[in-house]
Amino acid sequence: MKKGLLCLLMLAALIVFPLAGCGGGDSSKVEMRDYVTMEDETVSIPVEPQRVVALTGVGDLVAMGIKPIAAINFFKGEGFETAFAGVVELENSSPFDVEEIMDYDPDLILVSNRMAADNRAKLRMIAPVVPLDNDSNDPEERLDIVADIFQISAKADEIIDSLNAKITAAKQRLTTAGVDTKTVHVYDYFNAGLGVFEGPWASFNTIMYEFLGLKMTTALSTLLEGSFYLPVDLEMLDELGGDYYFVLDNTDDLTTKAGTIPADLANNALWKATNAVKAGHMSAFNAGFMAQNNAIYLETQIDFITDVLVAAFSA
Amino acid sequence: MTDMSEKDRQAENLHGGLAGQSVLLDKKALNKAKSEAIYKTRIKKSGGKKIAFGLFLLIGLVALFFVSVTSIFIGGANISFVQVLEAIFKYDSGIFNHQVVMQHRMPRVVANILVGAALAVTGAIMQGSTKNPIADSGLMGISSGSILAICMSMAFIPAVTSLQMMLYAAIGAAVATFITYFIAAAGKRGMTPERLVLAGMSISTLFGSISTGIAIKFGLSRSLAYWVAGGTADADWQKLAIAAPFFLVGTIIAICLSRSITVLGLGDDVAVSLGINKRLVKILSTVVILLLTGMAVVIIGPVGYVGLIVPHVVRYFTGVDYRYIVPASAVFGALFVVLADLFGKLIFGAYVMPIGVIFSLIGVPFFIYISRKQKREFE
Repeated sequence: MKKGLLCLLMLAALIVFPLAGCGGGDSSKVEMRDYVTMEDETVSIPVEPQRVVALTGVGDLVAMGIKPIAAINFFKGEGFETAFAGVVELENSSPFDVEEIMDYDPDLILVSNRMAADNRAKLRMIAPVVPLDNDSNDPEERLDIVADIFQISAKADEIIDSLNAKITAAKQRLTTAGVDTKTVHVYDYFNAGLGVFEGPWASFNTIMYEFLGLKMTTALSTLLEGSFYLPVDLEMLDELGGDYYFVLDNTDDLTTKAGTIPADLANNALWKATNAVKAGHMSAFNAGFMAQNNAIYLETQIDFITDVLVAAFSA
Repeated sequence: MTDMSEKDRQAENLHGGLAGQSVLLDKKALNKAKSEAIYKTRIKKSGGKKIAFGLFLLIGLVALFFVSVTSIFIGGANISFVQVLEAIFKYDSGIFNHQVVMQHRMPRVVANILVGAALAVTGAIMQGSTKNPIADSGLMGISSGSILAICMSMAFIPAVTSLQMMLYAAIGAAVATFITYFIAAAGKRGMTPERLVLAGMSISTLFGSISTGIAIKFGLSRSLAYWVAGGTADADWQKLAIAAPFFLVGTIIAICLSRSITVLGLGDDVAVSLGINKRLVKILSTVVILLLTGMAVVIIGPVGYVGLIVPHVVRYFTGVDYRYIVPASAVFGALFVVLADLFGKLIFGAYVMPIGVIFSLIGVPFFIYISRKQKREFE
């Protein structure tokens, strides 16, 4: 009888103590609210997210004063060495690793609106998942979503006002240097030819052709009509024209803003025979830097393009 | 009975030995004569329509000339007929369109000729030396070795130039060839056509998977996609100057080997009887395949099916004598590639068109046809 009672008590202790430990670890309750996403889906998210993992848009977040604990796809090179201090870069981006994200114990996960539903379902098992707009190169649209999630609209307005002032000043500099009457092209060299991008599809195109009001030739815009990206034969260079050529440097070195024109292109007879190249009106930029469309980079990108073009046409 | 003297016995043995040797020598001569007769008969009776070889080759050369010239006049840029002629006969490096003709279109046409000839000759030699009608460098793992080498150079060597990639592609082709042949020849049964194809396909799959992994890991997918798809849009005189000696050496060796390969196709006994050194022929065939495939792959990329299709078509007209098949494959292989490139330019105009797509569209149905024909013949 006594032995039986003792066993029963020990069994009860074995059951009760672990349960007590589980229940009593964190007594604070996280306040949640309902948030309607850009896709009209209602998600319950923390009122003040503390542990954000950003699988997109980290540059917008940091510009708005939000520091995720972990993120992917951000340029932290020249001029941005300290901007992302404290943000850990995830080892696995494409595809992401669920276990790696789980290790950070996030209370909110931000993803691209292009992420597939099954991937989002995996992430929802860890924390609430909210999509950010990856299709828009309009900083105001994207920052409004971030502002809505974190309830900091005033900061978004401040960034946009600063950006608009920068654009106005840059346009003035370009006009003074006579660049506003020139045509500027961006080329992506691969082994067989040149890739050309339609305007809003690439963020650097948005900066040049929308923000700064630069132009491409009619020949190029006609060729690009209805297409995002086209691989064009090098013999089209003369017909496409252009006063200044930017070339994408798809380098792995993400520390510098400027790039190097690939040797095969620089030595190509047709490239060297174009008027722009003969005049020395060409340069390369780091594609990893200029392809970033997040708010934190925009003013630096505008300054970079403006400085290069003013220097080229003022000489 | 008179006892034979020692001398008489020795004379009898000697006479018997000589008689024995004489019988042996007669047998060898008889075999050789039989083999020669088989060779001549089989070559004479070879299947397919036979037309005068000289005429056939002339038709090919004339067609090649006209298609090549047309290809120089056609391209994405709007260059008039007169301007093209001026570029050729009154070249001015300061005029962009002249540069297009002489530095872009013409090297592209020459590259297509070299590559087409090389791939077709390689296919002919492979089919003849391995007695495998579906042998082709694209199917035997050789091209996949070049792809892997190119992939690794793009991933691990910063700012690698196309000339450097040529070297790495050649090394990759050599490694893949060695591994394929080694695997096919391993074991007691030695190399058979089936083992060679299986080894080639295994190596292709293995190297292809590794290349894909590297491309994903290092973000090379787009650069590699255009290279793998194939094309000669980036051909220039410098690359051709490097490739041309390999082409010449490989083709000359191939032509010299052509009779031996024909004899090999009649059977090992006949080949040995006619004094063919099988081992040497196979080694030289491998050298030819390596030189020509490596050269072609670095210029156009890892395109397949040219070496499969052209020798079969040529064989239909010339018969099974590789002394005719090899040179005819060179001419018609060149014609095939130049024509495919011209076709691509006519359809795609200003845009870069991967020529490998056209070869695959034609080659895959042809491969299925040949495979099924082989299966029916076996049954």
